[in-house]
Amino acid sequence: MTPCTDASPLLDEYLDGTLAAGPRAEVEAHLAACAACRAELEAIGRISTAARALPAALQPPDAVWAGIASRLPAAAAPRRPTANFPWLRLAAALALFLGGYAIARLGPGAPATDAFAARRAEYTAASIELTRTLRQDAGALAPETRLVVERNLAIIDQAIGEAEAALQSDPGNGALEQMVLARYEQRLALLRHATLSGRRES
Amino acid sequence: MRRRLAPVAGSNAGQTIGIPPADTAHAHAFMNETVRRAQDGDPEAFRALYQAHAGRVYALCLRLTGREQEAVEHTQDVFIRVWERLASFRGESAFTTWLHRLTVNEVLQARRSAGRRSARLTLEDDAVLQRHPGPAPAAPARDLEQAIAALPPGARTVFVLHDVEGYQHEEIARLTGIAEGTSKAQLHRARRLLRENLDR
Repeated sequence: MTPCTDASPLLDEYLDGTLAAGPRAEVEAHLAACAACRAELEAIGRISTAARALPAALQPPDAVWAGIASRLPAAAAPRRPTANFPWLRLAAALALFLGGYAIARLGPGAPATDAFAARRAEYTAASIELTRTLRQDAGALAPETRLVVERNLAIIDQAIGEAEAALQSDPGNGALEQMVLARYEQRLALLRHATLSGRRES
Repeated sequence: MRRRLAPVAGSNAGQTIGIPPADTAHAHAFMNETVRRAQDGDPEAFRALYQAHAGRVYALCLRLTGREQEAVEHTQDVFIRVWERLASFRGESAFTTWLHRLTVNEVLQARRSAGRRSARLTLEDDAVLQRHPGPAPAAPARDLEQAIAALPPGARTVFVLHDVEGYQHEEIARLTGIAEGTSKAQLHRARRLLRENLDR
């Protein structure tokens, strides 16, 4: 019979099902005759099963995000804003939005889904630009105002996600497309309002 | 099978958090959109990514290091890296896979760093899960978490990646820079040490 010293190192691969046929037969013959190795196999099997059942996620302390947020301004952003003047960027964003709206409304008979995609892209671009402006001017907003804005943005973003998911399940559905655009427009309106409020409060 | 990153929400540190499946069409579409917006520099989208994935990243960091303070630091470093490198994420793999790989690399790279090693010397009396805040997990899971945290670093890394996270030895060897045979030997060692610890 294979000695325990030779069989024991193979028990892990035997347990994991990765042992080749030859060694596997040797291990099985050994296990049939060795109670100690059977107990060892059972024990490491219990541990492995318990490890797989451990929770995949653990809630981190609140301080984790606070630390990240404090370091973000110093970290390189994925893409840097191109303009340095908030009002110029705000104007550019509004122009982009209004231009896109006009194209969608007055364009020469583009298919509805194309118009929808164009409108969505323009809403998104304008929204991003306004978000950057707002981020730069965040200090101008009263803390309670900023909190309200953040909460409302979170609610709208959830609604956008739900509407987009519904549209993904039913592409081309005009009613859903309108719903998506309405949510984006809502987001843009909130951002515009917050940006202008910041200007008034500063 | 490799675990999936699960979106998380909750209020207590250390609490086990159960969340709806991450692979529903809704969650998938929402996450794709969130990643895209974060890539465009939207800080709110980035925060949403953090909220969705922090629990999974933190759990992995905590188990790989066995120390809460280190796990906190690594989780922060991981998300700073995410912010810096997000523009280079092209979607060839799932965002969750990309993030998982980035997390493992961050912890292993830090372990290789002499600075981190010396810093760890000051954290020897730090919590190893038993002082972890939040509701206590069930006794067997808590015992296992503590026993994992007490493993030597090499054995702990391989055990966490193989038995908790579902990596194969070949992947572990590639990630950690050790030989595949060494990975198998470390897993063997880890399981026996855990058995010895848990049978006491």
